Amino acid sequence: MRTILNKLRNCLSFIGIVFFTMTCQETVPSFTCADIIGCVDIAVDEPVSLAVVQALSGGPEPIGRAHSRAIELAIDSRGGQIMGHRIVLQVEDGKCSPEGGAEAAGKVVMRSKVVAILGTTCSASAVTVTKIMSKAGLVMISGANTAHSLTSAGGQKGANWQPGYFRTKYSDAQRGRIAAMYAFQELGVTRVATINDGDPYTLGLTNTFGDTFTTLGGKIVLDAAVNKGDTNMRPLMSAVASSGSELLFLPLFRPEGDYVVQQIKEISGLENIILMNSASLLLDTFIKNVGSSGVGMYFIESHFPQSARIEQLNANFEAKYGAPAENKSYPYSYDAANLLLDTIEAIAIRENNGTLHIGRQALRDALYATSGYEGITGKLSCDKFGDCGIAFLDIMRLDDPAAGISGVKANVIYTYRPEK
Amino acid sequence: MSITTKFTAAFALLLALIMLLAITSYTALTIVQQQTETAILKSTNIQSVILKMDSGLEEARRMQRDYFLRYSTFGFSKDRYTYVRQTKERISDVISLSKELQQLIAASDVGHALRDSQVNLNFYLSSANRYLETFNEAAELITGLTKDETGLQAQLVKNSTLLLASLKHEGNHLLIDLYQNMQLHEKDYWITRQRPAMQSSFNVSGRLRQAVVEMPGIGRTQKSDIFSYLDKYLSIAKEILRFDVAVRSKFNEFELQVEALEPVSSELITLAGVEIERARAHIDETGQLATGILVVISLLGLTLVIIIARVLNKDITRNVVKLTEKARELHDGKLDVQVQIDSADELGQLADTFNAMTSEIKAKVDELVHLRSMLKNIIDSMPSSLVAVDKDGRVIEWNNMASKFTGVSMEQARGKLLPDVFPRLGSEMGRVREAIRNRRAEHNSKAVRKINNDTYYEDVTIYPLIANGVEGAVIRVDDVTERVRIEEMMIQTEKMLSVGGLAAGMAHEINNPLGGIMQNAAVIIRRLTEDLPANRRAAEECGTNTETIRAYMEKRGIPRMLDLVRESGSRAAEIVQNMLSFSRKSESSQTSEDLAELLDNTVELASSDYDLKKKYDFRLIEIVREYDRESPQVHCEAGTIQQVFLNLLKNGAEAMFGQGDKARPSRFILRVMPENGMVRVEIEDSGPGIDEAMQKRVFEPFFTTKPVGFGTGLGLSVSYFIIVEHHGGKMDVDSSPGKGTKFIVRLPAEREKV
Repeated sequence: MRTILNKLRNCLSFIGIVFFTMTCQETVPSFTCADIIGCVDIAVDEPVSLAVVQALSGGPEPIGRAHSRAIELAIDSRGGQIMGHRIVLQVEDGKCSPEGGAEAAGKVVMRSKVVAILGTTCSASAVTVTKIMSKAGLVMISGANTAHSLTSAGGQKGANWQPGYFRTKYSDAQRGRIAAMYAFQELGVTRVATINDGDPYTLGLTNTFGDTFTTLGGKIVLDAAVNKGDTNMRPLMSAVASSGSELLFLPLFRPEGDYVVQQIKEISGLENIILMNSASLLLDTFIKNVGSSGVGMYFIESHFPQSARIEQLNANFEAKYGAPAENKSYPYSYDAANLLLDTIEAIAIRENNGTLHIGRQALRDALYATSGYEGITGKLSCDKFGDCGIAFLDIMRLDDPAAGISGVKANVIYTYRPEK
Repeated sequence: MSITTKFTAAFALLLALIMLLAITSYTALTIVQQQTETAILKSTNIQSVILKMDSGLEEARRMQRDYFLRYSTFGFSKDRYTYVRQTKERISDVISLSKELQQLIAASDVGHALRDSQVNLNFYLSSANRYLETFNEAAELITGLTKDETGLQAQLVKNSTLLLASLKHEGNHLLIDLYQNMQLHEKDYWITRQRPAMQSSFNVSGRLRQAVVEMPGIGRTQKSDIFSYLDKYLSIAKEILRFDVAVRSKFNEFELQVEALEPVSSELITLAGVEIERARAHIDETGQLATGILVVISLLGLTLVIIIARVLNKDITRNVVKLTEKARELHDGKLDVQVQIDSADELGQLADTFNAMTSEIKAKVDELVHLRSMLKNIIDSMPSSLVAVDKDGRVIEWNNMASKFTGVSMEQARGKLLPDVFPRLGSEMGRVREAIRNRRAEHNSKAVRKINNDTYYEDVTIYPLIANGVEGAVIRVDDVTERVRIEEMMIQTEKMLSVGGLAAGMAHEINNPLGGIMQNAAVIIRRLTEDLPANRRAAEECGTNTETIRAYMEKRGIPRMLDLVRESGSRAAEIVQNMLSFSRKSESSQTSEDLAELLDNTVELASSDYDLKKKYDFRLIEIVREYDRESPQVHCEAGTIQQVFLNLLKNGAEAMFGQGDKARPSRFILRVMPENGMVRVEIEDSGPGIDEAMQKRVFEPFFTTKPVGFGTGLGLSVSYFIIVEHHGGKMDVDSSPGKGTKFIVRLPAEREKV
């Protein structure tokens, strides 16, 4: 009996020691976050969470899908990992609308360990997403937004600028200006009608176009708008016809853009009107849909220098997804993803046990400090408003609908390279 | 450690275990009950909140949709305000409920899924807040659109009215038509809310403007007013368009928010249901855990009990069993048991004591057995029948002699009533009870027992058993038949000795006159019957002659009388002689004699003896001799032995007298043979034989079957006396009626000189 009691006593002592040791281990802290916004602490077995908010439905869906896939390719190129942690994407549909962006952003910020947002596709949804993500301390890098209100125009903070917002694509302040310059200087038009659909992208473009065109001496004879979802463009085209405009600048999305192009020719007096889009309609589906109605339509698309990396990316895209992307601007999102991940690697603190600590303000500061980053679209340097991209713009014209988008891209009428 | 300490420790442990079990059970049950109540309350509360939240959201959505569909018709009425307020209240309720739910979930031990739903719940709360903000914004926009007097719609109407008034003032139908066309498109817009309709209105307003420009007769001021109204119309209409887009955007946002919220709400409802199930499962788990704990505790307890039992078994029970087994063995009679218990406690001490006790018991029992055996041997060796009975007369013990007498073994007799197994003593039961009651021995001397017409004598002595509270009696039965006979024989012998002494005294006194009688009788016979010269002279002197005297004596039977006198005298002398033989020790020297030779001599003598010839003709009796010539000699007095033989022959001849026939001639068979250091002589006749009762008395002095005067009854007694007393031999009779009589004489053989 004494032997049994001894054994029991020894057993209880052992259990007590183990328990004490375990609890003691848990009470010793190893990292203290000094970031003013806060830190994302990722345990050794936890992934690094990134959110992807793109237009995955509606007209801009092909653009959003291509940009989303570009992000996936960027992660694939890193083996799906960063600093020993898996990268997990939370994909939300921003729907190319402010409310869509708000919903998507709401879902993202609810998860406290999301480090950053890669998106949006549309500037309209970016307006609400930036507000929400900035307030939550995240960063957001878009490879598709171009509305200048999201960053700046003329050195002034844009109306929708928020701290923590970045983009690898150029601001539309340049595109609108270039379009106006081409229209006035090259096409010789002096009376232009502009149509927007109310979202920052189209509004920003028509505003900058209008400002530049007016400055050059032209006249904006009609500054009209359509609602997203409108299908009957005839009244508006009648107004365009009545305005006596020579060129219609319509940086609209699909399907509104399709309806305008299809119906404008029905209106008497508009048979020869020149149509000019930004690049929102530079899609095979648009070209096929409007057919000959779109002949002569100008597009202003960004141009980045072709390189082996671009070609490899295109090949990888096609290999993974079975077909090339409809919209070719997706490399900007590829750069956005890589810029984000490289910056995280630069500022994250990794403990010996593999725990990562990512300071949110530190991430923002590091992104604002980006200079000469060798992106696939060029050297990226971010200013204080978050513009990191360089605009190389090509003005293309649709002459042969049968040739599709490649035919348009091959028909570069004018190339603009800004000094930056 | 003593047994007391061990038991104390064991029971203390068991008590602790029982208390632990009771406490654990109570605690487990209490916890289960509390957790059950808590879990159920919590989960039903959560479910209730979620359901309220969902229903509130649904109602808010319905009201919001209604508002969106009908806001343009409300006007800025109290109803609209009420509608807006109610919708806001619903949304606020939903927000409150979602906050409450958050707190509930945070405060409760909810399931993993529900806890993870905090993210969705945060989203829900955020979306609900945005929903409210959006609704507020939408309400503000709608207010901006529809407010009486100041709303854009009211302004547009007012402006349109003023425009119409100014156009009417001009009285131009074209202008009025254009205006109406414009209004038509405007109305179309109000109905369809499609921007192209308003655009059409704008287009018509452009034509109206152009028409006014081109219209002659309209003053500058009027034109200016009309243009102002048109510009204002366009401005307000565009603002209305912008507001409508914004409102639509808000309501789109509502839809999106609801679309986003609905799955969350559904998920929360599902999770609530899951939570309830989880609560139930938790209750079950808790119950199972409690059961498990109880089972574990019970198993631990069982283990502990087993351990304690094993310890107790090893230390105590086994030893007790061992002791019990050994005690049983001891009880069963195995006296050499020893129990081995290696313990210093009371059981070890008990074992030592037990071993010492068994050793002592064995020794005592051995001694008792030895004593009992010896006692039994003694009792069995006793010539008496010993029977021990209890107070009820049941046999407790009896010895071999009793078994021999009754033919019943001790085992068979034990426990039986005495009269049943020893009928002869049935009549003694009264004395037995007396002895027990009076605590005094009872005697019944020379009790006569008749067995098969034979008479036996027994001394029955009854000793009461009163020691140690045991009541009973020991009955001793001695067969004193032989003693009685011997006593009688001795009495007879004493009698004979007395007779002998008397005879010795009287013989001399009797022999003298007897001699005179015999002598004178002989002289008379000689003087009267014999032809002697003296007799003739006397006769002649008396004047007679001897022949006449003889004739007279013959006639008067006097010679016969004289013969009788002489025979009687001779017999009296023989009797005296015989009586003298009782007193007279044999003074003759004993010599080594061959008994066969002596017997033959005696037969010879018997054949020639006159008295024998007169009574019976010995020559007619067949003599058969069966002599073992190897028979040793005996040291005896030949004369007296011959006397014995002669007496036996004479008795036999007398018995056979007149009995023989051709079928069974009279015959003596004479045998002489060695027997166990003695020489046995048998004299067997073929007479009628004698019965057993008579056989027992034939050697008694003065016992005779002959009529008075024909025998003194001393012959066989004297012969017996001679054989037994004088020679240390034995003499017996063996006879059966109708089968002759055999007398057996045994005399010690002479030892061979080495």
